[in-house]
Amino acid sequence: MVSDARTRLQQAYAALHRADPEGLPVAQEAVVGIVGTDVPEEPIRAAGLHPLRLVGEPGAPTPNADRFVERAVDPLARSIFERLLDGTYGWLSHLVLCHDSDATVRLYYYLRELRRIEPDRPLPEVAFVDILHQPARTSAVYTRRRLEGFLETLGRWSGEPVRDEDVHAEIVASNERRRLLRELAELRAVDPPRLTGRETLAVMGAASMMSPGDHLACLRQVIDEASTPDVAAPAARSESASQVRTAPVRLFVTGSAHDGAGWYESVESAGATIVGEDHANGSAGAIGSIDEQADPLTALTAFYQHRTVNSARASISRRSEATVAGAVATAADGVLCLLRKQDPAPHWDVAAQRARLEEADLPLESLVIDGYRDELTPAEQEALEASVARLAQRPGRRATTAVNDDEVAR
Amino acid sequence: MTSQGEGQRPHRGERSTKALSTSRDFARYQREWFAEVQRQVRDGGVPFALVNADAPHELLRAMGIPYVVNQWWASICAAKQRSADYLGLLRERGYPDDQEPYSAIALGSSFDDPDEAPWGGLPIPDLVLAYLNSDSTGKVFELWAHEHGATFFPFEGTVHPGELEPRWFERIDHHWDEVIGSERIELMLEEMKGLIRHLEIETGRAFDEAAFARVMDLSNEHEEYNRQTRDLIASARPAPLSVADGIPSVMIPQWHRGSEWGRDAARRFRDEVQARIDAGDAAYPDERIRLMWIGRGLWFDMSFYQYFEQRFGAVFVWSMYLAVGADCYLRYGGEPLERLAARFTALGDTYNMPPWSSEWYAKEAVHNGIDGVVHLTTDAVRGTHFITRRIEEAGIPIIEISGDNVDARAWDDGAVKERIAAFIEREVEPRIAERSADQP
Repeated sequence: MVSDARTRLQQAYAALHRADPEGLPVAQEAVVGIVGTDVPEEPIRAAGLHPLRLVGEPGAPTPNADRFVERAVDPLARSIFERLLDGTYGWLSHLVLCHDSDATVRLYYYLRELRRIEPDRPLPEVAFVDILHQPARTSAVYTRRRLEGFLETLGRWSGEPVRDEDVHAEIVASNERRRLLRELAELRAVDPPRLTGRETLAVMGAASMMSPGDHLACLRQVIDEASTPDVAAPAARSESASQVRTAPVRLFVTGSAHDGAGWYESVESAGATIVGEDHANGSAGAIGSIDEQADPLTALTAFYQHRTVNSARASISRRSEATVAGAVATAADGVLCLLRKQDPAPHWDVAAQRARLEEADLPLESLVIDGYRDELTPAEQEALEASVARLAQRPGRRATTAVNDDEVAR
Repeated sequence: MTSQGEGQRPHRGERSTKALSTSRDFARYQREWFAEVQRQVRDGGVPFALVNADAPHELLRAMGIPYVVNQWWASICAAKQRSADYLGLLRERGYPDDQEPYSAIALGSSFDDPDEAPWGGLPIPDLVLAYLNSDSTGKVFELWAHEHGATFFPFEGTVHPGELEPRWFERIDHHWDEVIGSERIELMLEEMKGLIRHLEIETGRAFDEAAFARVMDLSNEHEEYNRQTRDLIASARPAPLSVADGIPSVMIPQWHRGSEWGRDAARRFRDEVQARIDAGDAAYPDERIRLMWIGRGLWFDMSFYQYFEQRFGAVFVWSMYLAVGADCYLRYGGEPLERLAARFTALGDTYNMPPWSSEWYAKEAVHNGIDGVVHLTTDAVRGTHFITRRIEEAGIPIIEISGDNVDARAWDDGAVKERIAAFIEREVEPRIAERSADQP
């Protein structure tokens, strides 16, 4: 039986993807849309506003966006732009974009320009927070100045200056949420895993559609349930009385970011469980804590500057190290690299990731999908299943698992 | 994208016909200069750098460190029809062969046997510099470090978070801090100081302030000549040269910006253009149509630009290279290092970010009396819609052609030429006839 917490999280996640403002925990005027993985949510909450991560609609046509966005731009970004233009997000008053990728930067430029030359077109007011990622003091100084400007913008939107103590309070709350999400991530690393990858994406993504208190309560409940010894992961559950069955192959996912669970569903339907990932909308988004002792802006600068969750803003070496570390920590049997063709950065990481993983005796399979959609073509589905099958045959992998309390509880 | 059938060989371009002595002489100079750089590196003791076009070369020039511009080398590889081979070498190593070829081809060439490479091959650099303005740039340059042990010094790409003055070109020379934004300039200034200190330690050479100030003064003089040349061509009928001559005559000196040779070459180019105007020499005497090429140069086939002359009397009189020199580099006021930071912060934005790009291209189209615009929309170009829209608002027909300027694998030359021919016949010529009919 699916618990009340899981149901609420799934419903919130579904509402996020429907872009349904009715499900929001606050009035629409208090919502700040965010595009990209680099927008810090803590200042937004400190301003008394609610951050809503905008998502696309996989597979849906984008006739409005196609007028303005170049063919080579990541179709995930194109789809978000479509929803801004076609009225799906027409109720949104404020939007923040960031420097997480060239695609997001282009969206910012085009929205800014459309507001200038088509002032009657209904578009939210847009802001840009330019967080840089080189591990250099010069980048930190600049980033901090931009965060100061971001706080001023938020103060204007909320009608009151954002106070340092409120930012600090949100940093503490955010850290607690990340701590719980890391607990959740650990429950995926056990054998068998207590949550699937798609469940994890829903747990994390639902935060956009829930009040912080509600989301934390649901998160704690899911953790409690998943920690219970007699509960096995959905992928490992069986209606059969058999005590031994074929264990799904444990995969760590890298490559392009996912704003929905479509590809995860395809992977986990092909005989795998995704036990971890290194993109921001998955467990990697919970890595680390913001320094609660430092000045809030300094702490936010340091935290967001040094994250590696976004391939476009992280070096190949740091990305490949993170992939290996993540795959090892989650006891993955192998790594599946899922790439959107029009998302250039992670394509450059693959060779180094493969080499580093070989050193750790972990195989890597990669798939390139042309477009932004949940449905795979027959050829793509076949390639996916073949990849999963190859990863399942990794030498030394335990292919079966005994299902009893002692085995499940580690 | 225009595309050939599968299994077809990439389009092989041809050399353009040069009318100017500067374009021939500068090409010869470049070959000699490159041979000298190869010799210096081979003999040892000289650090060598590979730099992206939007990284501050002037620092290296001031310190006597030889450098090659990444995009220049990519253009040589494309001209020698080696792009496909070098992209293939990237693919063999597990790297993408279809992401930013203009930035990546030099890396691919580094895996070639020097005896097989154009001009004896690019020396392996000790240092690589790039401004991080795309998702692939940092990756490509990091691979120079990984594959060849080069030191990669990145400059952060930044974004102005607010409204911009659309007609930046009217004030940027002297009011660059207001037009660009002081935070962005200050970041690059601090990064350049870091690079200078790094070079001083690594090379044992001191950064000479006087030499650097001279480099900056020479580069301003250089670009003032480019501005004069741009304006000469803009007002001359018929055009004294086409972009087939103009591009090499502008760009080779541009890579020597800050040197006396570069400044003198820019002056010589201006003088030759003036002389041709005075003598009535034209790119094509029976010029009837003035075309503008928006986008990077078609390095694998510079003869492309001359194809439409005989058929239509259509001359490509404008490419971005001379105009960028004329409008995007000049900086006055402040300290030399501040001016250099102000030059390279937002350099790419001037031609690759709306509204700066769209307003500027429209301004140039009107200033140069353009009858029709061909816009090469590579994947790296931002704001395509806004450029096309603004040109159309200026009353000038424009056609978009998708393709890559160095990767000829998907370039269907026949199809592209026919599209442009149809564009000239159906849109450009009728618009010219309309204008003529409207004139008293």
